[in-house]
Amino acid sequence: MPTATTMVPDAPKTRPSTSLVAPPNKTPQFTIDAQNKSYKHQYANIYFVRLRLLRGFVEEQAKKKWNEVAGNPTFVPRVLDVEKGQLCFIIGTVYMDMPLKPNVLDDIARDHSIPAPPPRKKFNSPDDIITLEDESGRVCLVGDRIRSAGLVTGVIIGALGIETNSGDFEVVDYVFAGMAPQVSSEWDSSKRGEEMDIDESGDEFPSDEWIALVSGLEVGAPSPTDGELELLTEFLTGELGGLSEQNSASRISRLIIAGNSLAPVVSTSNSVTEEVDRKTRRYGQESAAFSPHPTINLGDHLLDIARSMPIHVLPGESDPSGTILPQQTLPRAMFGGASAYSSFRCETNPAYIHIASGSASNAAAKNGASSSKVDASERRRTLLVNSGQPLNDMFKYLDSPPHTRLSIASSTLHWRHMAPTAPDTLWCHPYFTTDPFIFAETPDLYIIGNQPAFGTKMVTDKQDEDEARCRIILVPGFRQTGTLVLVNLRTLDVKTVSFAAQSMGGALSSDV
Amino acid sequence: MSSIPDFLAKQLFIEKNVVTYRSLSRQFKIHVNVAKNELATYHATPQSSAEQSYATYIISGELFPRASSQPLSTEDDTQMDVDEPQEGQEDEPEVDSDLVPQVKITLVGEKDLEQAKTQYARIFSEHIYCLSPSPLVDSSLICAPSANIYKADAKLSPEQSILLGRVVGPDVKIGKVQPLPAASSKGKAPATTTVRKPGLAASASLSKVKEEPKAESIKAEKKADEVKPKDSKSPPVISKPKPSGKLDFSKAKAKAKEEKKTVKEEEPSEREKTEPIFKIGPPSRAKRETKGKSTASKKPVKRESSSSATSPSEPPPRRGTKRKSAMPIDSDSEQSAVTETPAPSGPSRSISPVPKSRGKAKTAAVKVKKGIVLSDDEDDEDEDNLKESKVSKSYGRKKTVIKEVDPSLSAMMDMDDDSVIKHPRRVTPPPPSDTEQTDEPDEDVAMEDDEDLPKPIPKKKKVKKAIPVGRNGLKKRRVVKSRMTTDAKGYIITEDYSEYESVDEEEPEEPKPKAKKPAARGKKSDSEEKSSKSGTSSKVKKTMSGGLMDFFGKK
Repeated sequence: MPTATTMVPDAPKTRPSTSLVAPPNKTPQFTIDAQNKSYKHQYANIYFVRLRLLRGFVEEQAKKKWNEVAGNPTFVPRVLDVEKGQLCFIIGTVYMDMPLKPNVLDDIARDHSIPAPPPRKKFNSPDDIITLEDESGRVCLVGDRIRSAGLVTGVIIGALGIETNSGDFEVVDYVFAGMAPQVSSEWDSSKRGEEMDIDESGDEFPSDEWIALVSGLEVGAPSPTDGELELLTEFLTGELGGLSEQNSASRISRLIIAGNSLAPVVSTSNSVTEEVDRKTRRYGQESAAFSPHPTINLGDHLLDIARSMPIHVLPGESDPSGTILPQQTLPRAMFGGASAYSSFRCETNPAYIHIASGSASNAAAKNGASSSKVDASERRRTLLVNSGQPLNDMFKYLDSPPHTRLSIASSTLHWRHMAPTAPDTLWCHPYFTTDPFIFAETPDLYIIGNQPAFGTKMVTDKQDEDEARCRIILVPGFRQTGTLVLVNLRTLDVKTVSFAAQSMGGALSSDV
Repeated sequence: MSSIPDFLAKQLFIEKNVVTYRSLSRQFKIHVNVAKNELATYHATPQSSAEQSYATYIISGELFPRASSQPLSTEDDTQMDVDEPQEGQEDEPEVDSDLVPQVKITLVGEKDLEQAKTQYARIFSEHIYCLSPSPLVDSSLICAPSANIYKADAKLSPEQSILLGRVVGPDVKIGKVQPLPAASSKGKAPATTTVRKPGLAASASLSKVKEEPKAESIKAEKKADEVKPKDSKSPPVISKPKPSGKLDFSKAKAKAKEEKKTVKEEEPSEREKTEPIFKIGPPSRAKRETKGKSTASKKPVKRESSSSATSPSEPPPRRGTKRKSAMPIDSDSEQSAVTETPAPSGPSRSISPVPKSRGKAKTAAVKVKKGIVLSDDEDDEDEDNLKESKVSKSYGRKKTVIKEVDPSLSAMMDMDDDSVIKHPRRVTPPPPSDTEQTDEPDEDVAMEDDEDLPKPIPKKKKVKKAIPVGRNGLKKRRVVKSRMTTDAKGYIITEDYSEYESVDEEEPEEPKPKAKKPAARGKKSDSEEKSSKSGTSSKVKKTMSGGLMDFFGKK
């Protein structure tokens, strides 16, 4: 048989150490504690707060950008005070008036004897009206430029233009708040600059810390991928493959699971029959030789991984968690043995994770010297992880040929808001005095889970002297793609590892 | 143990199991890579046709860029939604996505091995994954041995699993999730123990615990007298959170009666128990604190002993004992203390210690059998069992228990005496029939006064009748209360009675219009008054209710 023997490594491998860092104070928290757990507030507050917080940034950008525009545009603080025929700019919240957008009134008014139409993939249509509103009122924005801007409800923009005779605002140009400042962009900046040019070349150091990202395990789905999940587990624990795989696996310092660890409990009857058909066609025989209980199954795998590395688990759309954002942490006890590990952490759905290199003990030892403290603060990364609901929702607003998921994700950075469509079409908590979805700072890694396909992109924004850069990573669902994403924390390089079983059952229906 | 080929033959052809490199590694405690080689060796050696095993391979490497997602996408098309192709386009040419290296790890049967290899541009490694009695038709079948692997892994220490090939990161920790450290410092709190530590640490702390209390116990017995004050003090402390105490009251009374009868009998048994209890007693620090406190409040103790009828009968050592055993309880579970307390605190001071000790005696008996000191929170025997299991568990994790003990204890000790004192008053039995009973509450007050209360200015003139004034100088006020009891037939009887309550200095109404205030208060519902007055009598409570009233008054 063609197998080369696999060498046993001389010394047991170990992993690079990374530790969690408490977030700086201005980082918004997504935990809803007892005193904020009130649903009595109106959602209008969110829009009000959002406009108030972002208006300043937009105005600053607008003034910078349109300073030397001919005609000397003036800033009109209230959209309704715009004077006809005069070049000016206004700032407000975009509201997309879309006929196809789900409307609760339609839902009430519809004939219930007829089955409801399936939810739409896209809301957009040629009849969409883009409006800009602030505290005073609303004005329609017209013009090709604004139409192609890829706006969604809830974005704060500044629009430069002239009010037409019909009362619409003809937009000449627009600005966003721009990317938020970035605090922790230093990991090893001298080396990183070169690295980015070379991009995926192989000069990564064995000492580099990597993290693993996966989402959409969907344990318990009708057509399970338990085999692939088992391979994933063994890869992460460092047992699978030859020395090269074991080496690359041993550089992974932690795993982040970005939602949808469990398959949705309720699936439509339609899809169930479809899956069953497929299953029988594929396998030809009953195969479940393990516990069918999804949480037990998931817990076993997580425990297996937790013995090897710290894990962060985010709830996702299909997980047994609340549906409104921010989704709160899953109960630890749900995961069985893994919950015994303090390095196993349940996170909220959008979650900021601050990671520093080096072990906690090293840090503690070093903390005495102030110089090493500086060093420590330099070598940290801010990760923003969500399970994909905001992007999935925004994606419905926009036509996909011109707009891609990556482009929308990078837009959110420029909008300085990660989920502008909440609370319009994306359910979110009725925050009263704050809008935690505003980017207070630009993360180093912006990780979006449960996307149909992998994608990554470095987004940079040059502001004055300091530059903000952020790597967006769309993590595909594991059940669909079998893909694990690895990120080098130092260089922010990305690579993927996908797991698949080939020809399993394909031609073998007549076996034994 | 049988050799590896034998094992494989048995598993594959007799038990018809799938054997993965992992299960083989766990079975023989060999490195996973060795296990992979063993599988390959076994598979390569010719077998009889009846014993033909089928191998499944793992290939890992880089795909040809073009073919990258082909096998996947064919598989996916069926289950992806309609707009998937669009997104595929978006993603594959990566119009706006950076190109990244893609490693693919494929699980493939030996039949398709060569074909699978053709799609790889570069193969990093290839090894046998598992052997099976028949070709694998479903990738999920590789999970079949997982249950055994998990079982084996559960028994492995982290070091052992590292030897088997698992890569364990230094950040893996067992324990509770620690809150992140303050913003400036990085890393997790050192409190978390690493994987292997817990056992060691726990045992170390255990031994410590055992040693210290022993030494302490001797001292403690000697100083039993000093400890005594604790007795008188602690019950009120415990009962602080008690809500209204109405129902408990009757219970307590009954107990008190019973108590008196049994006090004598219990003494001997309790003494016997003293020893074991001490052995496993609470951490020594707690004890010291107790002592310190008790010496501070020595005066009151003496008074109490002289005034209370029952206390002289109690031998000093017993009291000490009781204290000791009581400590772990309270600290162990503050919660349970809350529920338990009402009964003992119901009756007057002198009585309360006794029921306590009685309950303890019982629990102690149970506990000593197990060789574990249990907290005797519960007066109910039923709850003893519960407690026992709980405590024994926590005993196993002694480390954490100890940690908890100290703060709570000290918190208890540090508790404002103001808050402590008031309890007995509110629970005082309705008609102050005999002097003893009336005296008791005062005693507490006296203690309090000694320590921090300002001496009240007795304003007697307004009070015409011989209204008892507490030792502390606090006036007593007659209050109408109602209580509910369940009679023999099971009916609930509500009866009104009046009783004296001493008025707290801090109460705003205290000043002169004593007569007036009660009247005004009388308008309030009975229960309200009670709650406002009795509810832990702590300032907090009072101000809260006051605040509420203000609120309504304003509107």
